Amino acid sequence: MDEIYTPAEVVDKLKASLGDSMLDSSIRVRAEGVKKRENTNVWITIQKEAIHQAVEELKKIRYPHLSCISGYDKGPEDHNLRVQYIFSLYGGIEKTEFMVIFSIDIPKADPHIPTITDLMEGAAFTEQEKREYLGIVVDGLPPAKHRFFLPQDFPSNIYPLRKDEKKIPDSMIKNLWACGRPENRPPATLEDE
Amino acid sequence: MAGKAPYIVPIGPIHPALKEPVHIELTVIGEEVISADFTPGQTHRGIEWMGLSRNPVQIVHLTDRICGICGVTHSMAFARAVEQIADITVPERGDYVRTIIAEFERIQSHLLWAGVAAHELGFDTLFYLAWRVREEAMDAIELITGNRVNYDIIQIGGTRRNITEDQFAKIRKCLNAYKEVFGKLKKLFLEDAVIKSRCVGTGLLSFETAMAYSAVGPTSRASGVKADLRVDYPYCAYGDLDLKPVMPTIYGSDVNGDTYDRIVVRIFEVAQSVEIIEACLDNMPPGPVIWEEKVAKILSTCKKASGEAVGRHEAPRGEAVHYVAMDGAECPIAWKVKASTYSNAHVWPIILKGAQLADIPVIVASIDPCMSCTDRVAVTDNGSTKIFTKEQLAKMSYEKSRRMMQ
Repeated sequence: MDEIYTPAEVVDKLKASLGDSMLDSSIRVRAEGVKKRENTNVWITIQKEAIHQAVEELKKIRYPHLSCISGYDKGPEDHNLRVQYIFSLYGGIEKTEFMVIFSIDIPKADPHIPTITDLMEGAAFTEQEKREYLGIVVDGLPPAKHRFFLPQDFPSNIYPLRKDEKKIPDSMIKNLWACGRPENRPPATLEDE
Repeated sequence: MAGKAPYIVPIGPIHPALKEPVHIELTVIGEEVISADFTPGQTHRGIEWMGLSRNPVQIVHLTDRICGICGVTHSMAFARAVEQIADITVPERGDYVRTIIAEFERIQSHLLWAGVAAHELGFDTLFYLAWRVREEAMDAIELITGNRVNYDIIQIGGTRRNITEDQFAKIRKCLNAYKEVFGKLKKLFLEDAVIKSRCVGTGLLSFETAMAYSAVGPTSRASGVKADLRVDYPYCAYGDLDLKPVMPTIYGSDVNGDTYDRIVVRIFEVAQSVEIIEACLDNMPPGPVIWEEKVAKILSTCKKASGEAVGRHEAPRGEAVHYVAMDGAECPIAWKVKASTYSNAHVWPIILKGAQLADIPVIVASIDPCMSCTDRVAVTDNGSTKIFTKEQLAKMSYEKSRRMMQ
């Protein structure tokens, strides 16, 4: 079996290869239960250009498990979206697994991220979700045949998790009771027996 | 028939073979599936979006309603995330109560699934048996939480109810009932010739694909991915227990990654959950179950907290992850729910490829899909949606059937 690195060693290895692209890192430990066995999460902030390389480096350490890519809009005044790549390493090794979470800022004016599907095929599903919910452009991810998360007739310039002008307008969520019953219903052709 | 093969066979969004709405489109030549595509998102309720205008204690109750089966999964993952941000320590007994209720949930969820799988195969006697024995777990859950579904037992900082000594006898009686019936369940599900012939070798998911697609839970373990959060990433009371992930090899077979292996893993996980609950009851530490009883104090602590955290839990269907970010305001600024089916559903197109049409229901069911967990965010657009009447839809359906018969 490959050598098992501690969370601190993993941070050092990533720092060595990413250099200045790694902006910040912290290791957070939590202990629960009577025996207080520890579980660890590693949080790393990197520049968005380095995300592909970061995943590549992580893969060199060991094939990671990608829980999902999550993301949020930092607010209507903020110019950035923040996206987290939630990975875990050493799944399957008793009491050893820890999470590695890469956070990146993406400018709303130019919301591009490179795809990581060339490294992990299965990332397409969660990358597609970021497209639909946050309007992030995933470079290199082929266009989906249909929407996966939103209704097929959802307006194309609205992204549900945005908080700026692309957010869900009030007209879509307020006073829905006022719509009443549909008018001009066609005459019923099938009689109830 | 008009036209030439391949034909497209749509299944869903609402279909008798599906527990919950999802649209699956199969391209078939003869009886064989050439390719498959699926469209989830049929039951979106906008829960993540709703959470952004609610405080953490309100969200805990909202998380209970993400799914009707994993009632404790989402609330536990969410509460664990908030506890990390606000630096709240759950009392030891609280961790044990959480573990016990989570394992009861696994028992009832796996038995529910086992019943559905039997039903998909047309083995309805077994469906009734599985659901009858599932009632024992539902009764125990009702005893502990007061509810059969939507348990509402998790609170930020612990649990809302304790398990008292006088409840132990009833819980143990329930566990003993499972021990007695386990041999029968094992025999009926794993030795039946029809189940074997329908499930062995169908819905194959290779180890490599399971890794590349980050599949989770019994679906990945049946493909040989030895990963179980309860074992690998100690949290709640799981760190105190000596657990081993349940792999298909437990039944003496090789790892094939087929539907049959998924049944093996789930049936034996029921037995494992019974053992976990017994161990928790034996070693239950004394003390309170919640860090702070007063909700106002929990809220004021959460309001001061800022930061981001990830809460994880091994749900019956696999890893559930909640990402929460707070910035010292009443409501979180971000909340992302990653349900287990989110990580498993996207292997459908792979495992359905090459399958026979008649095997589709059981293969689709074999990952134990939970669409209500996966489908959450969206708001119905009232203005531009075309509204079909029931009559129109029925007419379209008849026409479609006729078209397909031509």
